[in-house]
Amino acid sequence: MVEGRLIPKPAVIEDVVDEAPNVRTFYLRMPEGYPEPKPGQFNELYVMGVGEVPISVSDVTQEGLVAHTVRVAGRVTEVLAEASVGDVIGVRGPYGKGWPVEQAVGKDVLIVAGGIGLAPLRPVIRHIERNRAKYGKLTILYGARAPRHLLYKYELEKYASIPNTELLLSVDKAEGPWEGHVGFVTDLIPKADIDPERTIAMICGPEIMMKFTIKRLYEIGLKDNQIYLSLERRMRCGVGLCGHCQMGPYFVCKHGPVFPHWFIKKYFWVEQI
Amino acid sequence: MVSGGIYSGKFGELRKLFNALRLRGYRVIAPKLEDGVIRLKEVTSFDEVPYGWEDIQAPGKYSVREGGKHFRHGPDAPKRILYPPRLELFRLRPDWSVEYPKERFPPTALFAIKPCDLASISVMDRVQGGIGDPYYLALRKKLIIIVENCVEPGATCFCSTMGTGPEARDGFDIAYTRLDDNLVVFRPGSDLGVELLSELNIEPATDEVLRKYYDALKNASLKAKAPFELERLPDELELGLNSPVFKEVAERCFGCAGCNMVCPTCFCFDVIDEPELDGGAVRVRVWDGCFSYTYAEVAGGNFRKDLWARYRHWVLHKFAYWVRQFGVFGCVGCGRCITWCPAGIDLRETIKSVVEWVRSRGGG
Amino acid sequence: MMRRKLKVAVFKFASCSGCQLQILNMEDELLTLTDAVEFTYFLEASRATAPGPYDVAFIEGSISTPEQEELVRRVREESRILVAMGACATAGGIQALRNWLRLDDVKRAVYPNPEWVKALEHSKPVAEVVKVDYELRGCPVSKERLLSFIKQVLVGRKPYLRREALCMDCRRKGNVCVMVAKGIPCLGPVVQEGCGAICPTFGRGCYGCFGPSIDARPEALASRLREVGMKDRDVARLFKGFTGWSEKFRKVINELEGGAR
Ligand SMILES: Cc1cc2nc3c(=O)[nH]c(=O)nc-3n(C[C@H](O)[C@H](O)[C@H](O)COP(=O)(O)OP(=O)(O)OC[C@H]3O[C@@H](n4cnc5c(N)ncnc54)[C@H](O)[C@@H]3O)c2cc1C
Ligand code: SF4
Ligand code: SF4
Ligand code: SF4
Ligand code: SF4
Ligand code: FES
Repeated sequence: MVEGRLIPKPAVIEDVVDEAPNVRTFYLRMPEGYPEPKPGQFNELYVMGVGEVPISVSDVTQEGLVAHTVRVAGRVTEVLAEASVGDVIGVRGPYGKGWPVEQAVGKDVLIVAGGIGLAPLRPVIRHIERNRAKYGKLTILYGARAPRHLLYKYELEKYASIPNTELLLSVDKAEGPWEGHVGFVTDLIPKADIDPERTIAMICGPEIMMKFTIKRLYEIGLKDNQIYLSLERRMRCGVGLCGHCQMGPYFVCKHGPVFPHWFIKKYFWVEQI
Repeated sequence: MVSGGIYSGKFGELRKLFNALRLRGYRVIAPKLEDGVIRLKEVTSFDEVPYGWEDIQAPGKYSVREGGKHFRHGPDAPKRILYPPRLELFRLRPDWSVEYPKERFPPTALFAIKPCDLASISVMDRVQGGIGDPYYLALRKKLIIIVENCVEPGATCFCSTMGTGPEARDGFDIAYTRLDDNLVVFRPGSDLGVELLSELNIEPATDEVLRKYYDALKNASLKAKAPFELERLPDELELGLNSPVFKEVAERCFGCAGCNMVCPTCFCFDVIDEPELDGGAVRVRVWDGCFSYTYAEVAGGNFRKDLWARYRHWVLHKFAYWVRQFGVFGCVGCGRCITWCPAGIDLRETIKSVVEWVRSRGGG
Repeated sequence: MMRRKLKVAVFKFASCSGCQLQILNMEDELLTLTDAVEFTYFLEASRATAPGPYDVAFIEGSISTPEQEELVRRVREESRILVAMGACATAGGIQALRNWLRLDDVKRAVYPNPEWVKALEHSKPVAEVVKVDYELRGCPVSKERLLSFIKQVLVGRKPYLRREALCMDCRRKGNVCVMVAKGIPCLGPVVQEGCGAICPTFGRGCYGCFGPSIDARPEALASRLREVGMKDRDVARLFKGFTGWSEKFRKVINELEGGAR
């Protein structure tokens, strides 16, 4: 019996970048035949004998390395985070439905990210940067616990210099010199210059943050069909077999993780659905 | 729908049918009385099938007695054979090469299973089959099904409501019905079924037998009913997501996931990665269930930390979400989760109460 | 991923040695481990010192005397990972039955010169004295779990062993539920899996030696047992068996007995 879908294939770690306390990005040389991931898709990363975790693709480099930004959260991520250049880990993927980068052509794009939630949205920023003429204004609202917890600090400023782009940052606590906002990332929504008529919003962060964000977006006039979010659920298989990731009738791993808000709204707001 | 005609014969023809399966090299899995319970096990002799025994089922209670006319299904569902509780998927060697366990998939006959269990296989065909579970498909391809229609459904059965019994509609090779001690009605449901039946000493059913047959099954279908209707049930249950009923029932529930385990259609599994001393690893698939606490647990939280939410998910998945996911109900009305719930919780009552709650609020 | 040899120590406190025996019974499995693990046994923990440091210390037995309290603190300091092993170490064990009685009464009943017996008021689980990193439950612990635990430590991962209700494992295994089919009271629905459902496999109810499962609801099981006709006293006795002193069971027992402890 050959259950091919659950077999991790070896990938070599070519580069490791320290991003923030307990967060590192791993650039992987993917195995032969691995398809190019779309922004918002994820892979299952496996450490031999330790276990497997779903991790979003946070970049695809010019050389074809696939980046994963991993925050230490438990058993597997803890060991994974210790891996170094030259180590081999297992991968399966890419899985899931990604961000609506095609539907957003010709529109303004608003990105709202909290904490590690910027990782799956970074490929969207890259995509817009590379196809700048196809999109309208890009607004990036990003919040983290404290300045040192911001991801991709070395390139955040560069985002601001992408033509027609606004970048606003927020931290819960400043801890030292800090020019951005202190408070919730949702506080940035009224501060940003957003045209509700022509904006597609893409949100990723803790569920509670996404819920607040949606409420704020309603206030400035966005409609459900302009809002997309990436959901998190427990995942064991990543391919619609094991049942764990269900949210209402949807398997987040294969029907998502990115969903248009109107589509899941009926379930998403139900307590402990 | 049923192909072929309706035949009748003596009880002894069942024995012949059984032996014919064995002769053709099938591993026969059938009801078998073991330690006071009717199990589903490999049997080598027709005499092991507990004809002449009857089970008595009620919420949280099970027993058998000799002298009864009809047995129902026990705790084991075909799922146990087709989708085993624990399955080693593969081993990874330290160099990442893959080693598969050597499995054998003998041609298998399910003999005298009940219509609800047959229906559970057609649900699995959509779920495990639909997602292409290789183990399932390998066994399924070589599976032959002889189903026994239910003339006397048990007290926890509600196949009639679920549309899965007490008469098997399709998906079997042969369906038979024991009308009395020495009168059995046979229907073929596949080419193989026709072939097997043609070797028996049976005859086209007479009008009298037919009448008896229809009456018996009609009577049975009046018994196996739940206090709710299927029509619009998924929508009504979704309107009942906030019903207090789930919290009330969950007060009595242990969260033991026994119901998930005995349910013939529950498919959830956990993935266990075990390290090997040589630096490789094994990956094992084990049945999991949505009643378990860790089922929806993630690093830093739990999407269904309260038992009532897990209880609600179970009910909603079976009777609402499943329809959206796979186009059929996830419940075949076998009543196992009722009989085999150590808390004696009756799923039918829960659904009835939720529907009443929804209707009392003008929904539905 | 294999590193230097893992230094493992096994300490015995107030217990029957059943858990250690379980380790000794694992000869075949242990042989496969000898390249990777070095075992040291302290059969009489009260006299041994604790010359560490250890990667993993398994503590067998409950803490019943002031000396033991002192010693287990020292072991803690010497050990990277401290594991409470068995029902005694994780929940006080059978000897915790005395916790419901007055210590002096127990002493008087058991010993001719009770004043010579130095004992703590309660037979305590290890976690009441020092920080415990992991629990390996059971009376005795399960070989499979122990082995899996060691292998997981060897690959540098935080060991993970499922902690759901025993019923899941019992039914996966294909047992017939004794509560339903035989009317035998069983603690399985609220007890942690791991034993392989030994008792139900032999047609008996679970006595609870693995202690409460994650998110156990013993109060619901207690009401069900009363509903099917068991007396409060008998329900309490059932819960008391092996792991009655665990927080969750203790609460139910006290409610059933109407006591205020
Ligand atoms: C679609 C998706 C994309 C993700 N992308 C990223 C990312 O880019 N970077 C990042 O740091 N984290 C990401 N996460 C979260 C990450 O998967 C969890 O932090 C991780 O699984 C925790 O595993 P653990 O073994 O370290 O923790 P434990 O708590 O020990 O988890 C044990 C197991 O439970 C499951 N599990 C636990 N938490 C989660 C969770 N939050 N989501 C899904 N399964 C879980 C996993 O199967 C895991 O192996 C993502 C999650 C999802 C669902
Ligand atoms: S409904 Fe019954 S079988 Fe299911 S989890 Fe609750 S107590 Fe266990
Ligand atoms: S939900 Fe209950 S009645 Fe329905 S199929 Fe599953 S076990 Fe049978
Ligand atoms: S009811 Fe629960 S265990 Fe069964 S299939 Fe649905 S989610 Fe899985
Ligand atoms: S015998 Fe005990 S452990 Fe097994 S299913 Fe029944 S209640 Fe659960
Ligand atoms: S993660 Fe297994 S079904 Fe989605």
